[in-house]
Amino acid sequence: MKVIRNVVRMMAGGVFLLGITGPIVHAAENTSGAALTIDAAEALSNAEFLVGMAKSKKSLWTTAAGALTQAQEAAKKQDSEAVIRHSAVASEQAFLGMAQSGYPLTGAD
Amino acid sequence: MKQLIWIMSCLGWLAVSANAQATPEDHRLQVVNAVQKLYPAIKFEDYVHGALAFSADAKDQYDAIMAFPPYDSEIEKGAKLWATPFKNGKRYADCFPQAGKNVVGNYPLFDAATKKVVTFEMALNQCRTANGEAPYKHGDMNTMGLLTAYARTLSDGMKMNIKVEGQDALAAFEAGQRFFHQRRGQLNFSCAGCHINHVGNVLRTEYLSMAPGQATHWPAFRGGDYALFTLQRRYAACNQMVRLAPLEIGGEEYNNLEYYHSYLSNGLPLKASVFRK
Repeated sequence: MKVIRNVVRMMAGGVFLLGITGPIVHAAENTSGAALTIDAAEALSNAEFLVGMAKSKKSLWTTAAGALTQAQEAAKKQDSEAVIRHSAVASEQAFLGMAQSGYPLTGAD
Repeated sequence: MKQLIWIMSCLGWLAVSANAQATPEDHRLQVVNAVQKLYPAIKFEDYVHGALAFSADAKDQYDAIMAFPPYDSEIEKGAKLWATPFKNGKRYADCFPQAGKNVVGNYPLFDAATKKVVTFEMALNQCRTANGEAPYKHGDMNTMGLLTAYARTLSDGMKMNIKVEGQDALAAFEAGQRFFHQRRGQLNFSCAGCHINHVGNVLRTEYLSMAPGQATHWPAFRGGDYALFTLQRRYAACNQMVRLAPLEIGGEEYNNLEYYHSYLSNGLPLKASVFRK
């Protein structure tokens, strides 16, 4: 019983530590290297992931790539609000580009 | 009622199986017929002029430019590249039948050994590497672009003669076909949407050319500065215009696309290094 209690304590401590340090590590990992809010860092990371995925599927829209560049530029200026705004556009446009590959074919096929 | 359902079902299966057995040639004819239905007055052989077929003024302008092409010096640079021997003394002409004359109409071809489409540019690079030279970048207009600007003229007048033989070749053809008919980019356009369904319509200020014939005249010198464009560079530019991040020039997707796209021009004569707006 004591062992179980210790394990639970350790896990709780681990979760608490991750809760504090995770976002810090996450923020530090963004391409700018500058401090951003947790939300901005997450939005940028998500946008980078989705744009990368769309690129690998050969369905990346230039609008998604452009918005990601703007988000990365904003990150360099530590402008979290702009990072979130541009990242949202990049993520949405990347997602739409990937979804497009499921559209019906056109023309005499 | 049961009999009617049974008959309808049989007809449905017949339609499905007929569609499944449609050959590349059936498809090419379907595309050509679609264009001919829209523009019965335009002769099939005039499809090589593309959008110029819809405007006598534009065709006159083209003819005037082609009488004395202002980019002749660029083709001469390509001729020099073609004629310059490799370090081992061999030349490009040694790599091709008939010293490279009347061969381009067979490209892209499908190499059954590698199970890949081989474009003429790839064949030129294979020639280089087989003779100890570094390959050119497919998207480099100062090397590969200029070289093809001359080398392709050696096949002027040859008719496009793309072959799709075997299951692997058919798979590459169908991959190109899917690319051509798939909507892409934020503007949600497909190649087929413009160049089959809306042929002859004006998009912004330009007539939309027909897909058959489009692959016959590359590379082209385009616009006011006569910038050199290979066919795949044109694909990249077209993708960019519909807001799709361009794919790799010389990559598998564009190679398959060129294979399918060139097949649509089968039977039409080649004329390289022309002017296009």
